[in-house]
Amino acid sequence: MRLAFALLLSVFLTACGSRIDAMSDTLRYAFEGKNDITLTQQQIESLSYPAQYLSVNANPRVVVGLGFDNDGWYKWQSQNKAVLTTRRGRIVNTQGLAKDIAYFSVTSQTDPLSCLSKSGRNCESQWSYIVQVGDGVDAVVESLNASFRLKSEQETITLDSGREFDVSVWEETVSAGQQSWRNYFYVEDNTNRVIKSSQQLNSQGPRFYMEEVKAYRRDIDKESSR
Amino acid sequence: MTTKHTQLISAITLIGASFLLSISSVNAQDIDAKLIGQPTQSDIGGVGLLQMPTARMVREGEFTASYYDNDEYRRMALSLQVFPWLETSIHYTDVRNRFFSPVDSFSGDQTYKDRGINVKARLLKESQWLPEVSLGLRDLAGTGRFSGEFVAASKRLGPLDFTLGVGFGYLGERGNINNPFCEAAARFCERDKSFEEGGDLRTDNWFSGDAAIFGGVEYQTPWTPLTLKAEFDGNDYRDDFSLEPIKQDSPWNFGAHYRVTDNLNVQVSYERGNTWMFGFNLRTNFDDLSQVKDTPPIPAPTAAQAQSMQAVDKQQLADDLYRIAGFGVESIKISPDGKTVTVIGYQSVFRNHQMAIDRASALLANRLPATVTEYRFVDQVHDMELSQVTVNAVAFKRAHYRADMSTRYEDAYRLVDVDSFSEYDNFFARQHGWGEPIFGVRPFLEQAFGGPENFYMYQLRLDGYLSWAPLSNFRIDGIVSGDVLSNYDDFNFLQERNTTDVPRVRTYVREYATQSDIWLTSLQGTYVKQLNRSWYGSLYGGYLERMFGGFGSELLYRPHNQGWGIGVDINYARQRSFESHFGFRDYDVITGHVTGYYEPKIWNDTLIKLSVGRFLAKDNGAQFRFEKKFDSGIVVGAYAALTNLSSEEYGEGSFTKGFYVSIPFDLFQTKHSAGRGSIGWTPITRDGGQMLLRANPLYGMTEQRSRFYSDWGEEE
Amino acid sequence: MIQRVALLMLLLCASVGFSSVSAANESINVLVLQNGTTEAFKLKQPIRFAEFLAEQRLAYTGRQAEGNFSRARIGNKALQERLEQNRKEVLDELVRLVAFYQKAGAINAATAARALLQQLQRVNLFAGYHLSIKPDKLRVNLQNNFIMSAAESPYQLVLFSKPMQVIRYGVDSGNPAANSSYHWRLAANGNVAREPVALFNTDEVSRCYHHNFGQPLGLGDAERCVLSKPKAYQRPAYHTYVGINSALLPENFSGLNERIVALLKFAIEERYDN
Repeated sequence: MRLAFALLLSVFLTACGSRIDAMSDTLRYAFEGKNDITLTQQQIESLSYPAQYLSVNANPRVVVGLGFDNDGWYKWQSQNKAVLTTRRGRIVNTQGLAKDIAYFSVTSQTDPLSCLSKSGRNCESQWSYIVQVGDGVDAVVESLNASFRLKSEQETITLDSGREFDVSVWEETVSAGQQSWRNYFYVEDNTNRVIKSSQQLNSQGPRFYMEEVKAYRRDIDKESSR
Repeated sequence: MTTKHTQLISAITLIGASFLLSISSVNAQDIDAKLIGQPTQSDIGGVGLLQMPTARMVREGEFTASYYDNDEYRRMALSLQVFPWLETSIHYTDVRNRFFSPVDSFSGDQTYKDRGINVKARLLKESQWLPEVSLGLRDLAGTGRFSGEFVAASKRLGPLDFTLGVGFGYLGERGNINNPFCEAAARFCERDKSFEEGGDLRTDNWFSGDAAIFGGVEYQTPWTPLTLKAEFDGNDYRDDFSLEPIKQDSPWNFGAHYRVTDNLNVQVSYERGNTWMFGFNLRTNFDDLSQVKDTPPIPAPTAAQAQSMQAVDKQQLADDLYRIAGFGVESIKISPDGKTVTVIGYQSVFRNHQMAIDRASALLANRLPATVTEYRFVDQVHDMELSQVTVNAVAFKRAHYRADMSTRYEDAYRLVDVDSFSEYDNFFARQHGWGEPIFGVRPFLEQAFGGPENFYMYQLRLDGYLSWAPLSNFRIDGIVSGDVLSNYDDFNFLQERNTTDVPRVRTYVREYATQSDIWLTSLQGTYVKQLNRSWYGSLYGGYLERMFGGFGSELLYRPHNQGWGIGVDINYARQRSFESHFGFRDYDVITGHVTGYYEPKIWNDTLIKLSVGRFLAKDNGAQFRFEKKFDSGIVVGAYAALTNLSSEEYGEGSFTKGFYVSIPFDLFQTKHSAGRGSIGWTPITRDGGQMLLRANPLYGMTEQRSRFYSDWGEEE
Repeated sequence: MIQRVALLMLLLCASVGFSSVSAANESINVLVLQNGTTEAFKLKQPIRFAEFLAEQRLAYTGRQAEGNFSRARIGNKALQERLEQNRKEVLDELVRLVAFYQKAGAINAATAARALLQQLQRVNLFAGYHLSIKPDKLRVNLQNNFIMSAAESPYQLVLFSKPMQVIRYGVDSGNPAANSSYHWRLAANGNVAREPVALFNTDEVSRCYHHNFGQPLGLGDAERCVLSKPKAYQRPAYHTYVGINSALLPENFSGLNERIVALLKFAIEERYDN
């Protein structure tokens, strides 16, 4: 609709020099959107902080950087100062998105993903949790159940950063009421860290696609990854 | 388990690392929740069932273009919900089996198009026990062929929305009841069914003649995009305008309305027991439209605050005020005690002026010494000081640096009339010289809809323009145009039809359009002067517009932030020759008006203008103009002029009227802009009630005096 | 270079905060209510709120969860006193309303007003300038990360580590004096909404009031809005309020429901004696 209007307007309205520039910027934006970002090797090396690619729903991919590590709760921040918290590869809190994950709590024994990213195998497959979505007059709390299964192992994947990894792929099926969906976690075989994922925590979304750009030393260093 | 806590990884929190990008989680949704349960469009255009209306209103700002097709008619309409209680629409009905004019050479094979205006006003809002009640007038100011009036009541019971109403005219042809007004006065018993050329308000016909009860129901199915409709038609079509008689086998009509996307709806119906009909409509909401803006953050200071004004880089400050806050700075002045700094200039980048003030104040807070406790921003247009924002610098800094829990930017601002700064020292003054002329080229589309010769008349031209202020209060504006594409030579105003001696001031369109490929559209010099705080004057002359040249003067009284003003203008105008180079024709006129401007407080964001005086064809009368601004900044306007010309003298249309939509540029681009463009509809161009179209009227130039087209802060 | 700029910015920002309190060398007191207990903090220096949370490890509570910060709110004693004053006025108004209805023999309305009176006497109100705190976002963004200073001390901060217990305030829906056409939602972030809930008004849009930290005790700025209903597997994370049918309110009591909502938006379930 906006595109149609922009086109219409570019024809119908007066347009002076700078106007045409502004208009063509807007048309380009309407046609192409903003593009996914991909960093070059050089850019990755020059990064002074751990980083991930992140896309939210169908929006273009961005880079988020690790701002803080609070006892293993990682705080990833974007340029527009939104912050996502991950716990062992799972996004458990967002601050600054349209429908934030305001609160997350495991109601069963443990999140299998925390176990998998610690020991790699022999974890509970079933678990349950609650999520509070939003903090305003539309906020809701959802109760969810989920189960894990090993989808494939000893798989070799190449990330967009150019690096190759041996991984196990875990599939998580989450259900909330009648709805259900699947999440995928790529657990790296040496360190058991999640290097790639497609995950959605609650029925309203959003779905996050995350991929490691530059690892966090604490995750690679086996001694300190307790 | 370790008790070691937060580990600060890096300084990225403070520097905004170069590769981090903005996240957004906006998702393509199914159907906007705002639309579910909202009333749908009728066949005719405007909210209703199929042929019949309901009492319902859509949300304020809803704008719908609709199309509905059957064997006899193609109906097109534009509907706008002006207020929560008022719906207006313009409709065109294409009568598929009739031609526009019996004279073949005049309108060719163009089928007959009937046009008119529909309005519907809500009388009662629905409550627990009472229905919503609305009154509507259809085909107002049209030919009267489809005119009808109604009162309808709608009551919702969960997913069912019931409507019952009484229709008159086209809506009451069935005549299944006696006209209830007939008992009160005999004039309601019969309806004058002779059709005029159109354009008149035939108030004496309203609510007269046959009357009928109609009704129906709309059902919201459990599948949210789909609603179903059934209605009992108040019209039996025995007296219809279509050449082929319309046969009705059943008074019941059935339909289904489906929301394909947020902006597109389709409707199918089976009507009169024998006819399938189909249509669609496109909608948007003028309150909701918005555009993601690329707003660069206010740069963090790169140096410490200056210790004294002497240490401030003047030129840099003025440049940054433009680059960051959109202020074209004319001068910066300091009070003798050094506590107040006044920035005088013109803010042209942000439609939302508060955004500019936020940014400019932040800039001053970062640069100027702490001894400065007040900032003043004066809007100045060609030496006219129009308005001022006074910023309490201490409060502003508290808000900007979040020095406490509760102070906001707004708490630091006061909107006032301009304080005198005549005793202030000049800190910075822009060197004027002879100004810099601005040249440019832009496309321009001129158009008229619904003329008898061709439904859509257009001329696409390329304008080369000049804008130059050689003195601070004198400017020259000119446009040279070249024809690119046009069908104006189809314009066929027949001289013999024009039997009266009304001077042809606007109907030489064809002559102007065909006699040259390159012409001088306008070249006007304007001198403006602020006479005192609230009085403004101007003198102007030149080739004022395409069809007239001359000179004149305007005087305006406009108090600060009062929402009203009054002005007077007087002009000598002479008709320009058709090739629109430099010559003139013989016709000349003294024309001018007294104009009142008023923003009524009871209606948010509306502006009413009333001009009384003498028009171009030497006819005397008044032009009434109404403008409504929506949350998005879009302004929709309508005007009508009534003069002492009779409707016979005037010709088809009976009086001059038109509609226009003015759209802020920044709704359609990611860059900020305070500019606007507009699209107009003039149903028919005739000679009566026409005003001179000169550049730079004072009310527009003094916009900052009491903002209407721009905003102070966020719209609610 | 980068660090220098950052440092400079901090200095610039901080200097403003200091200048306002430099005269008074008082300490800054913060009372933190958490998990049913209260804890008092004394700060020597002005400090940004998010830094305070981080330094005191208040933002990072549980092991499985980090606390429910959408329910956290911060205010100060002065604001709390203003809120209590407002409560007193509304209570007085309700006493008069009960008397009015009793005199008029409106039994149901009197019952409704009395129920409101009792609820408002009992309910625990915690006044806040900022409701629903986003500690991580605050740390990376100056916006709302205000400086805690002696001028506004003593501060009061409340933190929760559990999801919201939803409470329905107001008139019993069986009471004919209850407004059954519109209900209110009271959100964790201080926003409230008046929502059409009857069969006849389902297509009406709601009215949302956005909490405004400049005028925290008011309802906030109104806007039309469309609210979604929680699905079967969801439960609301906001309180509700059912008012007295405004048609039954005498003229000099009009707006009473709005005044009650402006109090109840600060209601917290837990009781702290402070």
